[in-house]
Amino acid sequence: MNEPILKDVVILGGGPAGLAAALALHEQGVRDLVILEREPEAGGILRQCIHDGFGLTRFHEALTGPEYAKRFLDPVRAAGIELHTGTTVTGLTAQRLVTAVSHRGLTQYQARAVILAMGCRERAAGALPMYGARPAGVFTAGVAQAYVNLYNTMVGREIVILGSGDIGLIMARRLTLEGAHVLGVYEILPHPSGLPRNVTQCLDDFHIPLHLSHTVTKLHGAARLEAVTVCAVDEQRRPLPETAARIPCDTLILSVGLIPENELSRMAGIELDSQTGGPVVDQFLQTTVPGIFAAGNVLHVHDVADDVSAEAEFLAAQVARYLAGPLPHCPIAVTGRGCGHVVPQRLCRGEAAVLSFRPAAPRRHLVVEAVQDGQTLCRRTIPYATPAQMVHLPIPDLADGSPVEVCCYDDENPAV
Amino acid sequence: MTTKTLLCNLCPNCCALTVTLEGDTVTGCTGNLCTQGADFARQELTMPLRNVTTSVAVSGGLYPLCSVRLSAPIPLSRLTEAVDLLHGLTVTAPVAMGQVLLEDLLGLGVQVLSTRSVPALQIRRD
Ligand SMILES: Cc1cc2nc3c(=O)[nH]c(=O)nc-3n(C[C@H](O)[C@H](O)[C@H](O)COP(=O)(O)OP(=O)(O)OC[C@H]3O[C@@H](n4cnc5c(N)ncnc54)[C@H](O)[C@@H]3O)c2cc1C
Ligand code: SF4
Repeated sequence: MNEPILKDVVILGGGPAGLAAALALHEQGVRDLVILEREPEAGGILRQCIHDGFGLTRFHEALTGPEYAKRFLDPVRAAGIELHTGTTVTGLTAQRLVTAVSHRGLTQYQARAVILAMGCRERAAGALPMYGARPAGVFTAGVAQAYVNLYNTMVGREIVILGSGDIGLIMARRLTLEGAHVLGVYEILPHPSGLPRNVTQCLDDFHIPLHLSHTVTKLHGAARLEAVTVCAVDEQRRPLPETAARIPCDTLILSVGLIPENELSRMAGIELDSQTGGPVVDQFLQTTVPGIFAAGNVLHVHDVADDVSAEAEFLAAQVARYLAGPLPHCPIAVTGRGCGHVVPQRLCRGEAAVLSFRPAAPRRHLVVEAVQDGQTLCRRTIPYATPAQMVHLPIPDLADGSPVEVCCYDDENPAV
Repeated sequence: MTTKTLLCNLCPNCCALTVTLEGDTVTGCTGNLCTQGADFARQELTMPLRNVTTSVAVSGGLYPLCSVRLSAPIPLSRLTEAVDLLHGLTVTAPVAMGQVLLEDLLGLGVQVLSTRSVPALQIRRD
């Protein structure tokens, strides 16, 4: 094999995170960079998201996914940034040696800095406790979306959706408009996991019922799905057998969560956070392996593409800094109470940061606080918040080295 | 005076709006993080508007479908009709992103715009 190609920055993944990071680096004068993308076109998951609602914060317009991607892809091309599509990264080492495979064969890059921007994949049926055979007709929502939106193939006629993630909600509307009959959306949690706006415009508008605290316990059918058994669940999410009902259908769509895509991170020995499924990072978005950074869905699952691009641009500034000299040491641990997880997981002294997290349950009057040594560092209140919406809390620079805790609670009902 | 609660669906903030009404007229709106929320409430309670995203068939293209949206939202009550019409439409490749595929949808004064580019299929003769 040839000698590795030397690069200042190698970006793994050409979705919104990778593209925004590349553009921002270019603008900051970092020109020796390359984006490696597995698919034949850059744009990431946005390519198949033909619904609108992207870019409302950044561009003040409701763009569709492909239009949003183009807003980044056009300037990337105009700037002449090296982008290789059809190129899958298959290896990454802690020394930042990147191995990629394409029709041209195997290429290796030795990078000064690596940006992980591989996005996430969907949790599939194998990960769920369901009885019965595994007949055809069970799809993840993203796969169904690709069939319908990219390949013009209808997935079924009588459809049950398990899980109320945004993709599932959007597919409920999409399949209804395509002439299918969506019988209902079943969600094991007592609240929807997608954005409230998707519950109203994708379900309520089309009178599609949403059954909270319900799950699918069994699949029926041999070759093709014929029915599913649904059950209400108790507070511990245990199915209540006396509520079981058989619902005839030919298709089950799963929208039960996304998992950051971190096989390469594992390969490089990067520490992963069991809660986010993504790498543990410091406030500069640097992973536990020096010189390897992460942004976008590979780090933690985002609901809104604008958040992803903003995070990637922040990351680009940190990478530019890193190329000029090492970043400050970040020994201060961050933990959360009343919220799923907090990113970043580590902070340094003497430099302000922004923490991102989600409340554990819907809150009418959410109060978020960062506390160190029993002292409140900062506090924000949000009139109405759900776990579907990521919350950002800017915190001031820290003088002290003790751990920081983020607390989320409801002002009206602090006990919850 | 009556009050109603609804969610603003214009952006991912999804503000929970509390609207006060005198008869059919909106007299107050709270819970909105920006001024658009009050306009949304007024519109939503009289004639809800939605955009439509779907795809139309393409003949002679590299892909079988071209995704589309409308230049402006239309009344929710006309949505099904609009989608039925779009499903009957076939356009000819090449299609450029942003191209107007239909000038006046259902007489609503709204254009149908392509949201992707579909190159023409090159037939190789060799
Ligand atoms: C179905 C769906 C609907 C959504 N709807 C909305 C919405 O309405 N509004 C909104 O604002 N946001 C929405 N989002 C959120 C937003 O689109 C995502 O958060 C965003 O696309 C994440 O960007 P990313 O770059 O981190 O990941 P991705 O877009 O997933 O991009 C990752 C890229 O990395 C590539 N890759 C992965 N592994 C490798 C490898 N080994 N080698 C090379 N390349 C690799 C992938 O091919 C992909 O192109 C939605 C997300 C989904 C999944
Ligand atoms: S009121 Fe403004 S900020 Fe709130 S959801 Fe509507 S558009 Fe968004």
